[in-house]
Amino acid sequence: MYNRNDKKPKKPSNIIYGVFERPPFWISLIQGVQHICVYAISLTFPVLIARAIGATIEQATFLVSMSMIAGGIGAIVQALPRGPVGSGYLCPQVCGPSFLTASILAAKTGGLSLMMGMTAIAGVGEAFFSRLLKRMRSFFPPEITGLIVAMVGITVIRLASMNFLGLDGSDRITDYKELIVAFVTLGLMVGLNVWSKGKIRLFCVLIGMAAGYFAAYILGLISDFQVNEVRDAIPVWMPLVKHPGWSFNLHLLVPFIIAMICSSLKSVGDLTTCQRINNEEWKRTDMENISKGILADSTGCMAGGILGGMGQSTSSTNIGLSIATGITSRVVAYVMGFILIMLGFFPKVATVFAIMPKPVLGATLIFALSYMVIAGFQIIMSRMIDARKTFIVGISLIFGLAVDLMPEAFQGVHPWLQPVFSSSLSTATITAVLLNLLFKIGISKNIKLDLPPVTDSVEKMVQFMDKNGRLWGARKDVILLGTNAVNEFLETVIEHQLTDQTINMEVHFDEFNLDIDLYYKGEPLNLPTHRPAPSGLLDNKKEQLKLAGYLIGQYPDKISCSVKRGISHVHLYFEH
Amino acid sequence: MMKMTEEKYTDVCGLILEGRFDAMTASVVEERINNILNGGNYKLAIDMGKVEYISSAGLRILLTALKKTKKEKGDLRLAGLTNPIKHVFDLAGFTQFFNIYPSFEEAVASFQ
Repeated sequence: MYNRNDKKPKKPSNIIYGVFERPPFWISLIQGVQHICVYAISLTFPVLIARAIGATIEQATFLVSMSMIAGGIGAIVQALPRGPVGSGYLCPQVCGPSFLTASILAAKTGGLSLMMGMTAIAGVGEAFFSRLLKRMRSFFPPEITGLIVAMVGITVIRLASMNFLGLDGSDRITDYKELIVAFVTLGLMVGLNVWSKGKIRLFCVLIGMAAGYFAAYILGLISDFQVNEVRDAIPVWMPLVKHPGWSFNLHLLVPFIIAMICSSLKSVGDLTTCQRINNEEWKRTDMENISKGILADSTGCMAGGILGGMGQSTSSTNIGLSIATGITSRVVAYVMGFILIMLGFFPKVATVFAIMPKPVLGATLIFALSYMVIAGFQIIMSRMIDARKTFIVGISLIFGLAVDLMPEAFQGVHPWLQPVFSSSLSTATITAVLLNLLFKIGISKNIKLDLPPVTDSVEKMVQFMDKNGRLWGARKDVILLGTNAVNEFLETVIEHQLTDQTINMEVHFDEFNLDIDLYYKGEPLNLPTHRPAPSGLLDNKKEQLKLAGYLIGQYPDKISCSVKRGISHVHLYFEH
Repeated sequence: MMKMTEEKYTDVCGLILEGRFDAMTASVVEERINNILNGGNYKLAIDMGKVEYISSAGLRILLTALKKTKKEKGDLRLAGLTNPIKHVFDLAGFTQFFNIYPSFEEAVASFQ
């Protein structure tokens, strides 16, 4: 995730145990269990698939157990800090919602064996996709990754709200008991997170969920049938012997590839969030790290397909949990992964999660998603926003939300394209990527401006830099540094009459560098490296010139001044 | 562009600056400060909280005004310097000359 020669990322103040740190064992253990509680929410997807094809309880349990083992493998591989696989972050994988539609389609077409075969193929495809990502940095500027992160949260709002209110397809009435359980769970999680002192904040989710389960049991929201289900579940089993084998169908390749791309793009957003929450000085997405992360994601997906579970994908909810608790240590990922793999062999424990009351599930989701949505918008606003960026973010957000608000309008879409419209996340992401490509038309990375040696040129230059900074989607602070340096330069050249001819300004921008070249016919600038004494500043022109030259040199990361055939050249370099 | 708002207190004159304080705006600010000083107000508090940028020309205007107030047993006190502005003051070595306060109210009250 970073080379030994690189500066270690600065841990943000809200993080208690950062990615490189090792919390005490008992804290790692309880955190691991908390993450599994959140992971358990995604187990509703394999259950939905099993119900969609009328599978037996044993088949459903097999699907859930194998998904847990695949998720455990994925969490561990994702946290690996060295080697070609793994981003090194606590970024657990869960049963990916992007795979739901394609998986149901495959299971209905050729049974669970076809679903597993195609999931494994999707995993292989994702591994190839991860190798391409390093060269695709320009497809994912911060406004797009930020949008993905926000949408990852927004896309689950409907599911979270329905569960919070105790509703589902058949149950359309909210019982006051469900509301009590929901508010007890959410209230405790939020209350402990905001007002508690000491280590209690670290376990706010676990305490909230436990209280939610207890309240649900007292109020009769956990039925005797569900209690019996837990009691009657087999304590230990070897799920692999129940494997139905694999089969493949070429016709299902397209929906699975689209599902894989949607899942990968979501993971780009999740991994970007991980990078950001672990580095106070985060500036841009590290695509090398993302590439390794997506390769790890593919491992989880392949493991799901090969072992017999559902396609796995990074979990935004779990990242939200790590932000909320302030623990992003990768040790937690190892602990969680290990426990998850073990749980695959103990169906009784898995069943406890499977009967999670809807209001508890909804409250947990709402708690974790709050962080995701805010984190996304913070990433978007870290760059200068112009009309193009406004439309990229705005239109994509609206198109994405339309899928959630009017799902019926997209029901007639061809099955191959259904993954694109299966969630607001995938629709918004694909729209944003396409609009970003479209809006690249007409943006030049090299621009020129002629500045006559008059005071009005300063304002002209300020507007020019602001306009182009927005077009490029550059960091505000870097554009401001460049503007201020040139401002001081122009003032100096004009006031001290270093030239009487037009000054040529050339600016080059790419994601890593901002270069400003200033050419003028006349005397070169004096750029002292030491601050001149302020004593003679008011009446000594030479001292004024020295101070101005010194200030100009303080803004850029590098500055040089040269003269060739009477033309003075000042080069300002800013790291972006 | 520079927006300037003047506020009168019993014994102190306050000036709130908003915008870029560079060669474009320096002369306007200088004129306004001179008007205040010519009116016999030598206790001057300037709110810099909304100043986006200050160049060496802006710094010189402030230093000149400070000297004038000191000569008349008054003072020019600054308030609300944002980090980038404070950075320029530090770079230029100007922080040592001025009394700087976190807020405008504190700068005004400091004259009492």
